[in-house]
Amino acid sequence: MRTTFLHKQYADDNGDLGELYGNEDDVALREHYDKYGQNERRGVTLADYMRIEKMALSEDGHVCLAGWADRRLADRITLSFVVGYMQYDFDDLSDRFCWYRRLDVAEAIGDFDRPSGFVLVMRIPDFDPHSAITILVNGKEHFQSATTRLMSVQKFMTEALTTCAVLADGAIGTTMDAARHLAPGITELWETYLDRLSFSCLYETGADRPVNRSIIITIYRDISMLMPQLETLAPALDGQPAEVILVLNEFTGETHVLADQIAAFSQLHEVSISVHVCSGNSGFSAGNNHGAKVARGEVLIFMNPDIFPPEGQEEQAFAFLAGDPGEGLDGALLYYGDGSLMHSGMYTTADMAVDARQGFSEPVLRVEHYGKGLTAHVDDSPEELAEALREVPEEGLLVTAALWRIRKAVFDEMGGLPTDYIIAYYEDADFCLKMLEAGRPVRLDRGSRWIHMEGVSKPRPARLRAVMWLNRAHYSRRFAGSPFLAPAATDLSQL
Amino acid sequence: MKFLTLSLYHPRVMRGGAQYVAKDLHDAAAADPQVEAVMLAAIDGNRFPQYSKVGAAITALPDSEDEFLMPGRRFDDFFHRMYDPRRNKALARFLRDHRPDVIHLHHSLWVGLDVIELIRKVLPGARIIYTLHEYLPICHRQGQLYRYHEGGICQDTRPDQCTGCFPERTTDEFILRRRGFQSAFARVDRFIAPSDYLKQRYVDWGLDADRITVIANGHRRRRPEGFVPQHSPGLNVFGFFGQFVDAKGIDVALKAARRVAETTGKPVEIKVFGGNKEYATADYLDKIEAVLDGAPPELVVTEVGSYSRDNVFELMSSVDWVLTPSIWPETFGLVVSEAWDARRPVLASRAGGLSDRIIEGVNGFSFLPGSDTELAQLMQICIGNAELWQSMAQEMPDEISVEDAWAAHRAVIADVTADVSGAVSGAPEEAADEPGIAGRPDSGAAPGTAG
Repeated sequence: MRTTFLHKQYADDNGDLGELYGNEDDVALREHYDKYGQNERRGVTLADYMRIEKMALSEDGHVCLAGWADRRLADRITLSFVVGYMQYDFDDLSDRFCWYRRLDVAEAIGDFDRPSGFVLVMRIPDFDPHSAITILVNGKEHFQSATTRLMSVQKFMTEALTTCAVLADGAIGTTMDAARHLAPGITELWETYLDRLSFSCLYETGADRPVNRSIIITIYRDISMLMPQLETLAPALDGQPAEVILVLNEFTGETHVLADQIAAFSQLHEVSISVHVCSGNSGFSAGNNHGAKVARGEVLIFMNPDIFPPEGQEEQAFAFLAGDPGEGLDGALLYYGDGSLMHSGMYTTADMAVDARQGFSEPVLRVEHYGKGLTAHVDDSPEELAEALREVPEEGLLVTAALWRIRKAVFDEMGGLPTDYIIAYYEDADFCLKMLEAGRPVRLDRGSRWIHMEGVSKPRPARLRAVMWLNRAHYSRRFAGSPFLAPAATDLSQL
Repeated sequence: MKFLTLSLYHPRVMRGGAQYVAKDLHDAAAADPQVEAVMLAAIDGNRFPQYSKVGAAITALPDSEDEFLMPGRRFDDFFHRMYDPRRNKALARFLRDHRPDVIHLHHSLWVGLDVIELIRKVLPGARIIYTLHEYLPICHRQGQLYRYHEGGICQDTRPDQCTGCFPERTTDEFILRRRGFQSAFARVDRFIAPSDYLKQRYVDWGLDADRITVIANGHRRRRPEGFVPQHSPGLNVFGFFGQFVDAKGIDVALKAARRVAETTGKPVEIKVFGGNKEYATADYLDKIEAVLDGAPPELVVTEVGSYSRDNVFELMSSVDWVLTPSIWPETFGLVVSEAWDARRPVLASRAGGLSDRIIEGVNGFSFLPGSDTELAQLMQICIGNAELWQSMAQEMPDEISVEDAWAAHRAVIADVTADVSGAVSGAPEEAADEPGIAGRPDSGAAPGTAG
């Protein structure tokens, strides 16, 4: 076989080279090709092997790109962003590109070995906002817009997370590695967002009354169950040294109406209440941490807005509010609205996330609830309950933050809930594992039964699926080696 | 005894069965020399701004003594709560000023269940009686216990079943709704039900039967002394009196009448005295149009328009028979009392409280709800049957009078106050040292309220 470099064709196709070398200098042209031309994909139209299908830009310089590329022709990608009169160059972003499999692209380009879809979330430092943007890929103009809309950070985050949902919906084995590549960009975005949030006190009453425990209820948007919840709690709180701290994330209602409702409730019940409205959605951790920060009680009760004492069994439930958790963390038995068992502690266990085609293999953690789905009922006798929970360990388990009891000093010592989980999911398991690793007890109060009106499963919005996926990956990386993971054999049989 | 009627609406603001009953009982109480009566009507201030005064939670009703209005601005129509601090202050003061021994609640719409908690705080010694006018505590579907999506009366009111009517809501929400009503109702001393049927539905729902007393809604008679009932020559004029809304079954009446006209070839006339046609659904109006489309000339349908208590006797006298073809389980059926007052036999569906009241062949006839064929058979029996009509017109008993109803209420009041020393003759206990608004002068400021 004989291989021939077509130097005349190379010079003719690339006018700059023809002008420099003419089309006869086969040595110089070959040298240029080997040194530059091959990498620059001279003679190939960029749009034929790479497409940017989505571009979002925040006012802070966060960029989200999504599209596809033929990795055989685009194995190394440099990006330049020309924004107004500033150009920002990034030499090698290989590690920031998150690649995933796209069958539609594979069918078109013929490459079934390498993932061809990509998502990139990054930030341009020292960004100078402008509406005109041009993106250069490997030095070639690839995207141009004179009227780019700059999104607020929150809107951008929603866009970016929604873009990532395509990964969240894939098999965990094929996407775990992708999550790792996305993590720096998304985490930076989340931290920027959190830093900018603020809390305003909408209402406060009873601030002069002594308090020894604080019930912190962090609510995302929907306050439809708030007033019924306060009413059912009122008998335990009326005239007692307790306070209720409401933290509202992304509250979309009318604040004066809510203030009126709380005021009207306060007229009927001697309960210290304060309402703190976040400027955005601080998520479960930061919202509850803010509640803990303003709390006056020595004991903190973290309670979801859909937690209720069971009808006719209020006293045993209220005893949970009055108890002392000591140096540990306590949870309670939770039942669905229909009375069936929902939560009697949790454990975390590891599966293997495998992408055989890429040779990827890594543990991925899963959190399971003991007893979920058992026929145990909130009205069961203590004996029936003991039988239902016979396999649930007394120690080393995790408890859901839907209802927690912990001393404020312990909570603060542990650094509060981790805020590096985006919005929600897995932060309570993280906190429990850290408690266990610190040698502190995590207990399930089997004498305390509550209703958790978690409702039926509804389709989760795309951004939330992405959050769960990213948080799970984050949780898995952090605790993959934890000694408190339940062994696989236990997971196979225990309920 | 000081007696406070706390109602939804006042007939002068908006006509309706519950407010008529409340006002009648208030008037009867006011006429009782042993009673000092006050009436406070909660209204939707947004709908009736002419009765609202800026910054005033309670206002007087013009030219009325001891009758007041309480216009509200916001109402949670799912949980039936007001949560209005300005109103709470004003109402607490109102209660302290009037110090009623007995408070009679006539609804939770715009009254708000939180008012019960307030009463208990401000006047712990006062007794609360509550008339169950409809099924709203059980049924969020306009309190009608009727499954529009299935076309039948709702017999199973468990929370998961409610999502059939409200698929956008969860079972948990309905569990909470029921819990909210029942916990508020736990603070009520006695319930009044206008019919056995309604009582039983509430017993099935969870109220103790012992706490519910059945007292029919009293009727204020309009029939002059010596009235001799007359009928049309053909005894073929049927009247519908009521709201022109889906659940009232006008379509059933029209279908039955058409069937009679078509099968017998005899003339049949239907007079519709109905208001609130604007609340009927487009589908329902289409359904009615379809029934009348191509009807034979023997069927004459006249849409007369709305009526009031002031002219209902005369209007009833212009028909021979009165139809109450409701497909929902009516709680009582005030129109039946009005028909009997005018000596008109009633053809009523066997739905809810109506079935309690009809004595077959004595004061009317009954038919299966929604059955136009059964109603058509009854209409055929009735048309031209002077002997039947005369016997019924002469022999049908009247519904109890308002005064009789008040006397029955007095018995209930005596019962619920029997264990309260001095409650009836003296002042109710006041929670002088209660925290919150109960024992506090009304200068206590709350956010968003004017001083």
